Amino acid sequence: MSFSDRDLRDALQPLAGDAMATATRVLAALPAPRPPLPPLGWWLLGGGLLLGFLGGFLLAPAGQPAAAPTQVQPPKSDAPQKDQPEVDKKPEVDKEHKDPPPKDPTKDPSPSMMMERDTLLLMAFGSLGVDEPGKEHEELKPGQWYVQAGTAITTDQGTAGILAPVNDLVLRLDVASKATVSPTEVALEHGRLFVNTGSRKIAVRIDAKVATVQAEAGCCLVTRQEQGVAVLAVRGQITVRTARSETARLDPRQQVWIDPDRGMTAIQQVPFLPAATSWMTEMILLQNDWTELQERIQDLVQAFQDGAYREPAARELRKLGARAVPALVKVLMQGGHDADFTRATLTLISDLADYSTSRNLFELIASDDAELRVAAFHGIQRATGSDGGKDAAFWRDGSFADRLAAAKDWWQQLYR
Amino acid sequence: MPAPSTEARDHDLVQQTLDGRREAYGLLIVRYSRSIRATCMARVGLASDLDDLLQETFLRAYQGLSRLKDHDRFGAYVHRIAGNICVDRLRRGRTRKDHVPLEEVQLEPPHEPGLAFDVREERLIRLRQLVGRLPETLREAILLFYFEQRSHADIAGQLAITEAAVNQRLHRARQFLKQAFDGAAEAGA
Repeated sequence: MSFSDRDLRDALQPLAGDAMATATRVLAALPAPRPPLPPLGWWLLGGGLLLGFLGGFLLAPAGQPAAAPTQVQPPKSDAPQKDQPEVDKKPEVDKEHKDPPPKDPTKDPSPSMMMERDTLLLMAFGSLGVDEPGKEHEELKPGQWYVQAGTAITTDQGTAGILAPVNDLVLRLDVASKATVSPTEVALEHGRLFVNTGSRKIAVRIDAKVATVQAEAGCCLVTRQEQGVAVLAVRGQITVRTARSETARLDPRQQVWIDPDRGMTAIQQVPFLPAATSWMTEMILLQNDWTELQERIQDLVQAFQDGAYREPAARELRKLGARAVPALVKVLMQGGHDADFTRATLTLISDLADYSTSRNLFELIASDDAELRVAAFHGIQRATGSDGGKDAAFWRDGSFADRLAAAKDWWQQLYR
Repeated sequence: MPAPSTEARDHDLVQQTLDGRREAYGLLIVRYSRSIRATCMARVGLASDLDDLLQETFLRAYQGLSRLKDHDRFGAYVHRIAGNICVDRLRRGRTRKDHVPLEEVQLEPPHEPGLAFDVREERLIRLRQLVGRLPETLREAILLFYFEQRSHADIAGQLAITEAAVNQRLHRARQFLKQAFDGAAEAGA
């Protein structure tokens, strides 16, 4: 029995997706434009400056400039050239200087260049303060914003996610933190910062005063407190250098602590990484990065399975909600687990499954294990509000043929 | 100013988008969603994160729209971005220890074999899974022809190959599918 051209066309049609839904999702995710200043204010400000300049020029004694005008220099971009290693182009940062020096407004690149090189997409998960180079301090409400590279971002009760479109650098700033951010350099003043350079070979330097951290094709967490700086490698290789010229190269799950007076500690292994990244869960979910989400789920399921960190892993999995269900079902289907693990996993699956992921429980309802079948029944029932016309006793004791027929009917009823 | 029209040229919709009219960009997304989806499926297979790839593609296209000089070339521009994103996605996938090979990606809601569905529907699902396992070049040809329903000449133009080569790829893809499909049917019998 083979297939026809029509079969092939019909087979592929369900893959078309919903173009309107895609458009809606994308439009909803587009960053909000920065609220413009009132036009009147701009005109008054611009007009005042112009009048002041002209007046000073006209009233000045002959032979003297009215005011020393700022020397106009050719526009320069702080962003590195694309064809050279970006980190090498950066000037040395004065480690004693917490904030970057104010940017000369005449060096601001043109708006189009800013869009290309010097713009950061900022997602505020709470109110936060921004100090853009050459601009007044602003308080931003939760939402998506564009800010210039070199902006100091201060969080309070909410977190912030930052994306540099020029190199796909992703940063996350925890609550009560402050960092000055450019696509290849971040100065962490206080608080906790997650850096993800993605899989690209971009190098990012994090200046935390008593230590600088170099991340290349990797992720790390840097925490700066009064007592010192902690650096934890999440992925890739992370290099840490201290003001005392100590250097450490961290592999994933390794961390060091740098004390301003006593220097760097020995490298320590972190047994359960998700605890350190728990604060980012909301951002991971909202950012909708499939790879990162799946990696996190796999790490957590592994920890849950290993047992030593079952409770914290379960807590983190619960934060991820129904997305964790397919991976948990897969683990159960591998079989060979002890009763405690099976029970804990079933509880978790049953609690987390929603209507959409309840489909996965149909794998369990076909199991030879009566306990799995009953748990799957309860999970589907809870997630969908439907019992398919059967009860737990049926799924525990019914014949295979009866259960198969009932599962078929139930599936049709729920998902067709 | 009139509302963006579904009949409008890409050039006009891009210009309206740049003027701040987001609904114009919505029309561009609707217009190119299917073909971008086909491009992504050709590159990464029938993976479960297709919607995310589409979203990322259109977001990145929007962010760089001001740099697009020839507004009539929006189609080529957005396809190029989709291609790059798919390459990134595959690269990231390869670096993961627990990466699931494409042929193991869940294409359909899991179900007990033999459970549910009428016979034809099961056949179509099986066929769809097999398309996901085709080598990239063959999958691309099959998707352009059967999913996008493009002509041989169109496909040849897009892939920069001759029509004869298109024919050959489609023939090889069908042969592959037939062997796999019939093999699976015999195994299941």
